Amino acid sequence: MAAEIRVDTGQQAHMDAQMGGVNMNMDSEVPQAAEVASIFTPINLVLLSLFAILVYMRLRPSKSTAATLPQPAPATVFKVFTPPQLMPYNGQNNMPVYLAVRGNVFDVTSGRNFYGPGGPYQNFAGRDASRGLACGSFDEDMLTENLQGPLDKLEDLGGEEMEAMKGWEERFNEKYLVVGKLVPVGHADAEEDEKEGSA
Amino acid sequence: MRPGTPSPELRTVSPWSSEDSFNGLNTQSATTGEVGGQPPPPYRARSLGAVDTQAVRDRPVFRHTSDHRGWIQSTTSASRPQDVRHPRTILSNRSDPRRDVEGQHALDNRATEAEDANAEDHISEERRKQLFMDRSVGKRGEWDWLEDRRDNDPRYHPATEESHRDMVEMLERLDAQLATLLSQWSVTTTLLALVIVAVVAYPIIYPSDPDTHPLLLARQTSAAPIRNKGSSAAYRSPEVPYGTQLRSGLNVRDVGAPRWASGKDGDIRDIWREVTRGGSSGEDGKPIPTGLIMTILGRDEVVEHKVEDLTREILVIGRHLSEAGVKRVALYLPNSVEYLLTAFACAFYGMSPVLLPYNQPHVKVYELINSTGADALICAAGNLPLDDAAEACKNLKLLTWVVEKTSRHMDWNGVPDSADDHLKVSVWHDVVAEQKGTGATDLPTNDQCPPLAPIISVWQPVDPDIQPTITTFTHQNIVAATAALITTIPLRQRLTPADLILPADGFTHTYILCQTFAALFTHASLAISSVAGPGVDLATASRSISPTIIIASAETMASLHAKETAALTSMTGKLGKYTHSQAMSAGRMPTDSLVFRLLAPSSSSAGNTPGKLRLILTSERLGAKTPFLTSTMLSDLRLFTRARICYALTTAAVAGAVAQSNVFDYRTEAGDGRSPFGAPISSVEVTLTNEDERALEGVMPRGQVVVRGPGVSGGETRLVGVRGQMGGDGTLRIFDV
Repeated sequence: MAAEIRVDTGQQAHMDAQMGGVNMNMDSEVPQAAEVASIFTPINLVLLSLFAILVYMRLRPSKSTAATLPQPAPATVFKVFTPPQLMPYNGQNNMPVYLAVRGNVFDVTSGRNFYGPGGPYQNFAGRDASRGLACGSFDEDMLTENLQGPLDKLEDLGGEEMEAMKGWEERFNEKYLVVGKLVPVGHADAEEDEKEGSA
Repeated sequence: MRPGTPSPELRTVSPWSSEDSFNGLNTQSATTGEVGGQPPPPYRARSLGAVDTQAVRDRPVFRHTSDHRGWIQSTTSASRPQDVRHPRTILSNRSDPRRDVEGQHALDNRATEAEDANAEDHISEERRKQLFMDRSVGKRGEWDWLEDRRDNDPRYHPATEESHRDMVEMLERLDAQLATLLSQWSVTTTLLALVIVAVVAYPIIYPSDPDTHPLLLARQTSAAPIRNKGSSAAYRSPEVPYGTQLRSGLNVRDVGAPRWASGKDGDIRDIWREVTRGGSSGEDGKPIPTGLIMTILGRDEVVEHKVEDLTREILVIGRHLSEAGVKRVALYLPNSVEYLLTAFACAFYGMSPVLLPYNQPHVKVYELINSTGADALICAAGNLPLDDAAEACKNLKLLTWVVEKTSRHMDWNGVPDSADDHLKVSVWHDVVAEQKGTGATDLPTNDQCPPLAPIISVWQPVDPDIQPTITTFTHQNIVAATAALITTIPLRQRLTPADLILPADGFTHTYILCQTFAALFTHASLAISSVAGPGVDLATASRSISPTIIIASAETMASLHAKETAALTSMTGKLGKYTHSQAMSAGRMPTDSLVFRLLAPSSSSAGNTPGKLRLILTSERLGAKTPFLTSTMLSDLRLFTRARICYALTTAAVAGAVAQSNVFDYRTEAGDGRSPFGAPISSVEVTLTNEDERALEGVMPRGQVVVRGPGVSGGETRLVGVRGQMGGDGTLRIFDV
């Protein structure tokens, strides 16, 4: 209320002063008081507080929002496989798709359309595909039947077939990641079969 | 009148009037809306001038009927737009609020209006009642959708009901208060408003982007997708990801070879050959810039060396050394141009330089000379007593003094009697002066040079009593490290011919040596100061020059940090530091605006022109027990020196560095450990081994650090006494065990 009265007298004094000055001497104190107080008019206070808020927002310590990228998948561990250990990796039951060429096990999960279940080369998944790639055939008889036996040594293949297999191997090396080594059962490097639940 | 026959007074303009079309009297044209021969009323454009209000009032009024006839022209008392009544007011008995209703006269009006409405609509009483009943039940007629649209039109519903009156009153009061508030607008208010607008608009008009994209700092290494059991994936610089070869050399092409030919790795000789190419025109006709090589003598003197003179000196000294039949040349010199010339001379003449640490006790030096099997010693005159040296080092065949200009009047050629038969003493400047006119200035080609000999480096911890590590580096190690250190820094901040580089640490450390070779190879200017050594004061080292890049030791930076923090006492200085830290945490290098230059002048005098120093390369020597720099110390140092700082991890067995922090990475972490070291440089790859498999699973493996690559002496090494961890952002962190 008091503020309103002061403001009103200020305005009144203003109007009187404009009117011609008859009242100016009488109200000389009031206009002075009004002018001194006029720096802190409500509008000035509002703007001053707005300025203070803006300066505070500019200078306050910014919350460090460190940009993060989603973490890539952890690296695959290089394993030594025996043919029975390689069998489950044929794309079924959410397993990745592996196949072996001349002792190198390749992770061909990105070529699932070809090597996974339902693909044209699905016979190769989880098996040693060396003979099949050398001869260019996807038949069942290209795969070694006895998983417990020694690996296919490819001795009876001719020069042309070995060339073809080298070409396949180069393509695989460029396209897919080598994730393991294939050794026959009973080899010195062969790892023990993992039991359920143990590391 | 038969329904369907158009009466003469009415003009039916409904295009949907099916009966008309059935009669065949009127044809429809859906596109133009013409009905029969009666075109729709002409479009009247709005005029910007005076509007003929009478004509506006006189324009024909159309009224929508509820049945099939659609829009018809009103010819009754509802001929003015304002007289058109909402059909609901016709059907209901509610009074029209726009009319004065008083007494029975109102009721009579209502009754007659209803009848009028009925009459003009040609709706029978039964039909009207039926429609009213349907509407009360809620049955929607054919045209109710149109009425719903009109219901939402505020022109038919002026808000003068009771509930609106309070709101209007409140708005008026608010308006009055706002007017009072704004009536006090004065000059101060205008100023305040301008200041607020400036504060809001400044970051919009002058936006500042961070120096590098934050996501580039979020993943700084590339990890291999495959790992062996017991070790983590191999972490490499993104320049050489998995599947590519690590950087093994400088990619040097022969002079006449085409530009697309792949270069060879090269060796240290190629670095000096590149220096001599400065000034000539390159393959594409553009002149190759010349880098200056200068020595800082004393306080004011700067001596510039010409490349031809230096080449001649290399050849002369090399010949002098090889004629004496030495195989290993020990260097016990401070930083000087002779140091570099000896290194190049050994490269061209098939000798091994042994880089001895400077400022060691004499006994230690003799021990090192003997254990490395050095048979020549190049020493600063007066640094070692000749008799003792001859006594202790029986293998020495040649001792060459490097005499500074002020002492050249003395005779340094004396040989002690005991060593007279096997030791020869020569003086550098005499040897050079003797053969001044004779030697050719053409560097021998690789075929003419004897086979390369390795470089032997002595890694001495700060405490002289601790045994040093003696490492043998091949030329490929050194050259791979040099190339990797050049390319580690992104292109914007890389060494250019416009830079002046000051190595403020001894050349014994391979990091400093490789950075110096990098400076020479990229034709940057090099300033060599003999006071340079671990722990030197930066202001002292850069006395009469203003370098743009300084290569300093961690001790220097730690003491600089301590000094500057103690000197920062004023409030304005602290406020300046605070705002600059804000800018750095936003990813930008703080600029020295005028305000801050007045309030808080930078007290750091490293580099005479403040602001010109742009990069400081500092290194952590593992195993040397030097003080290390924490992340907050590095951040503060960036503010004190106004330069970017790269922190490199170096070790005895790796030439150059193992890892170097990103030049644009200004992020700070709390903690007292070493600041993260960033990504490995492109000549090495880092693997972490651990017996515990669980520590290696996931993306932040920890364990012992194994370093492999062409930059590593012997191909592979393990960092001793520390454990490493790969941070989530791909930076290597090292902890003491």
